[in-house]
Amino acid sequence: MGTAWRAVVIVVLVCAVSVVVAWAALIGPQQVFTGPGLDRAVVSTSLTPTPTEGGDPLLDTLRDQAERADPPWWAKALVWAFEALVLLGMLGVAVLATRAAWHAWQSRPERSPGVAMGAFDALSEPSRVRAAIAEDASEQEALLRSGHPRNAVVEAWHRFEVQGARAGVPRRGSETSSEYALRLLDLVEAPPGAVNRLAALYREARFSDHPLDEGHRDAALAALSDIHLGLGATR
Amino acid sequence: MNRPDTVADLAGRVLDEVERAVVGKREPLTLVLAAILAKGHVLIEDFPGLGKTRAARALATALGLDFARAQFTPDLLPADLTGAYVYDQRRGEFDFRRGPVFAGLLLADEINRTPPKTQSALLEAMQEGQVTVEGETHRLPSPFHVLATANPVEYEGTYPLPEAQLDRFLLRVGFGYPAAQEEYDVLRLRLERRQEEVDLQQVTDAAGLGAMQAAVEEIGVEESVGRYCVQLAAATRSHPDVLVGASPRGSLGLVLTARAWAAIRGRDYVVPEDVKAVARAVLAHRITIKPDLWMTQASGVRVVDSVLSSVEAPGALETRPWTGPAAR
Repeated sequence: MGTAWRAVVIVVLVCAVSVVVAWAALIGPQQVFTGPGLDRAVVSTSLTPTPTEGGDPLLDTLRDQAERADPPWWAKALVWAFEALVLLGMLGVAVLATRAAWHAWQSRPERSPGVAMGAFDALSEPSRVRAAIAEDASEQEALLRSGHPRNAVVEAWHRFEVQGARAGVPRRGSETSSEYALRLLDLVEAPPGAVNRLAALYREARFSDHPLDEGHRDAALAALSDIHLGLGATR
Repeated sequence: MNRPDTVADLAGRVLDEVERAVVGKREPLTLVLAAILAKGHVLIEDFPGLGKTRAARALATALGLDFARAQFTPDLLPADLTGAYVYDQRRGEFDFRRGPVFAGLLLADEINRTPPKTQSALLEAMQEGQVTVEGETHRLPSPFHVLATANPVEYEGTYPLPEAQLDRFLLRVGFGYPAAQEEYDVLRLRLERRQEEVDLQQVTDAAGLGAMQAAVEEIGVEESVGRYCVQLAAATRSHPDVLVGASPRGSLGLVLTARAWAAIRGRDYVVPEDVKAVARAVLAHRITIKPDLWMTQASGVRVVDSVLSSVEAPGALETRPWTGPAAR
């Protein structure tokens, strides 16, 4: 059971106990422990003393009247204030519980679609990625051969993102392109030497001001070719 | 010195040397060196006996810096740190006697044991690179770096650094307990050398370190990476667990440390992975968690992790102009 669920259970228990305590406080301890009991007999208000066995009837009558009289206004105000406090407390607890649940929901770990799939789909992920890379290999190579070497290297590297998305393994927003492509190529067990060479060329092309020339393009083509060969993606 | 591989080579040799004294802590030691290359100061917060003092001494030796250690106690006065004027009876003049702050690398041991007045004197020296005594200003040597240590478990008789002063430290790192094999290596090496001290070789000197720092200053940062640093710092401010997020000094620290990290890795350009690598150490201590979350597991490190997994990283095809101090 996660922390959020434990918090929810605790909050529900606290609310329940608060309700019982509020109810008990409102109806009084006598009602809580003994209930309403039998109806009282109507007592004559006559002041004529009658010989009885139980004691002074006048005193009994006054006591009875005092018990039936309305409580004073300040007592009522106290009860209302208490009720309002209990209600506010319950509302506050409910708001806090909602916030905690919302926060737990928002900060849940990000899961890739691949993880959410069943075991069968997760197992087939590498083959789907491998197929997507193979299918797109010629297009990726064509991108690397065209345009300025800097743009060509970056676009060819970005092509791994396109291939991964087609295979159902998209890049997470917080993931850098390098992290994603390395994860993808690790998934399909691409040759690590070639992957690292191409990754270094991508980083240099994307984030440095170094002049990139045809030598860099050739190095990138060689690395990409090795990756494709390693995956059996060449035609 | 402006070749990135030269900086990386020197940095690697320094770290190899320091690692002879502090076994198996390559990652935190690299962070500390990155902070020094970025001209910053480091707060090492960890339990006793994990090699904080040894690491500082070893770094000073390998970098060829004058080393001074100041034990911060409750009765330490600012003058004990900065120095004071002493009357010379023979000449009838006051001479300035320099305190331990006049060193290339100062180990401020247990900085949170001294009252705020003395803490402030050190922090002023860190920020300004000078101390003023009796109205006279004295420049500190350059490079000047402070490695301060703090014990995270003892609260009795300590004066925790306020947020504004924590912000002055470029990084906060912890060494953590070693793995079983690393701990055994510590024992084995100590038994093999038959003495407590480790004889370390000096790799460079103050001038060499200055040149490395100058080389780091030449490293430019592509705009999307700089903006990524800003977004990370800004995201800490709007995180639901946070009372006060990282200041602009936090985003600045992020980009400066990422530059030094890239230089240690042998590059003269910064990639987003460099920023991610240093983000915890740079940002976590600049974040104040809401007081009502003190019973939860919320912490600066968790906030930084959350922010790193939610802020959009620079993509491959963003086409922004490359800018930076080394724009050529």
